[in-house]
Order: sequence, then structure tokens, then C-alpha cells
Amino acid sequence: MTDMDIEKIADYFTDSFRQVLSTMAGFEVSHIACEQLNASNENPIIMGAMVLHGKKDAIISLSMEKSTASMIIAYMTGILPQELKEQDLFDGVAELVNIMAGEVKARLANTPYHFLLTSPFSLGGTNFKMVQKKNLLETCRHLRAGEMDITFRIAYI
Amino acid sequence: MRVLSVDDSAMVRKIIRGAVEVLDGDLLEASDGIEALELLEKQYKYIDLILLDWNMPRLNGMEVLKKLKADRRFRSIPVMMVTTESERQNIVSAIQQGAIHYLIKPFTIEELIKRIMECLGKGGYKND
Repeated sequence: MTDMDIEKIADYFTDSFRQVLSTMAGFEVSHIACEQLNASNENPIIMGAMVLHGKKDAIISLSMEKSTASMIIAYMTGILPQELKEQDLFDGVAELVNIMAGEVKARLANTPYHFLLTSPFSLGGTNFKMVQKKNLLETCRHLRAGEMDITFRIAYI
Repeated sequence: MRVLSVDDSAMVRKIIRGAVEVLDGDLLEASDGIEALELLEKQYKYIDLILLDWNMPRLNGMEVLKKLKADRRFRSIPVMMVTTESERQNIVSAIQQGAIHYLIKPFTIEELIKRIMECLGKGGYKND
């Protein structure tokens, strides 16, 4: 696997995420450069993640501020943000990862990069980072929907 | 009209609840296949449609579908798969196992409502 491959695969995931948000929440998502990202680490973050099993295993994640998760899940479910419980946000962000990965799984079927889905999970807290071992093949995309920032990461492990 | 949603995501079940309520129906929920079968044992006579996810803990959707179609009490209840599994062979396999519809996530609420209505028209709206 080359850097170019992982960049292409990351684009597939972000295309899929755009489609998920557009279809299920009516949000248009744009891709912004990393240096333009102004998410603050001081705000609570929710990260949804999934391990992908393929010839080479990978981990993908979507991170966003809790308030962003609340807004997205509210639009998807039709439930007011203030009526959503914290568990709804964790579950919702994990499901976003699941739906995003499902579309890419079909796209990469019958290619050397095909993978199997596993159970998505989510993590939450303030000022946390996911740190990978050095020299892993990894990349990220920063996405923006209105005022909301979302970070997608993929690392081959 | 009573619909059973079997999905391990509470968010998806909430979306489905919204759609079923638009149709003036009731929603029963199960978060995996085992829970769904337990619920069906007691309530199968009152369920008009099952919306079934594929990837779930304990017992996945395809295993549930096979059990439903192998049991004469449950086999007449129409089943629509609602899943992220969008590969052609999975869709074919689910239809061959007896699902009457297959809705791939992501979907719009309008699409979901339309498919539920189609399923109820197609698969026998039991109103007994």
C-alpha cells in the first residue's frame, strides 16, 4: 500500500461521510485544509471509531465536538438537541462511522483493499488525542458543515 | 399497524420510530437478534412488519431472517433489511432468504416511509 492509495481511500471515506450527512441530516459538507481547522481541544469531544479487517487492518475515526454531535444527531432523528441524552450522542456518532464504512466497504469489494466491518465504538472526553505508533501509514481529512468541524482519520495498523 | 425495528443503534431506531409515527403506527424495538426473537415469541401475532439490521451483536440479521423464515409462526411477517451492507451478493442473499425489501443506509426519512408503505402493501397487512 502506498501513500497515494491511502489518500484515495481516505477520499472514499470522506465522500461517503458527505453523502451520509447530506442524505440523513441535510448538511452540506466541505473539505478544509488542516491549518484552517479551529476546533478547540478544551471542548468535550466525541470520537466514533471502527477497526477494519482486511489484508491490512486499519482503524478509522470521526471526531467532533459534543455540540456538533448533538446538532447532527438532532437533524438525523428529528429530536431536539436538548432532548438528546449523552448516550444518544455516543451511539449516533458510532453509527455514523458504521454507515460511512458500509458504503466504502461495498466500493472496495473485489479490490486488494476490501475489508470487513467490525462493531463501531465511541470515546468521549476533553483534551484527548489518539496517538499511533510511529511510521504507521495514516492520513486525515478535516471536514466542515456550516460552523461545525469534523475530523476523519485512517491508520493502517 | 405495528412495526418491529431490530437494530443495535438506538439512533437508527429513533429515526425509524419517527417514520412509523408519521404513518400512525406503533414501534417495538429490539437491539439484537436474540432480543428480537424473544419479543416475537410473545408478540408475533401483532407485528405487521420487521425492519432488520444486518450487523448486530449476539445474532446477526441474516441469522434472524433464516430463523424467521424457518418458523411457521413468523414466516408470514414481511421483513425489510435496513442495513449498511450494500454489496450485491448480500442483497441477493437476503432476498433469497425471504426479505421482501432491502434499504441501504444512508436513507432519507421519505424513502424509509415509502418503503415501509410498500412493504405493508406487498407483504400482507395483517389486520386480524
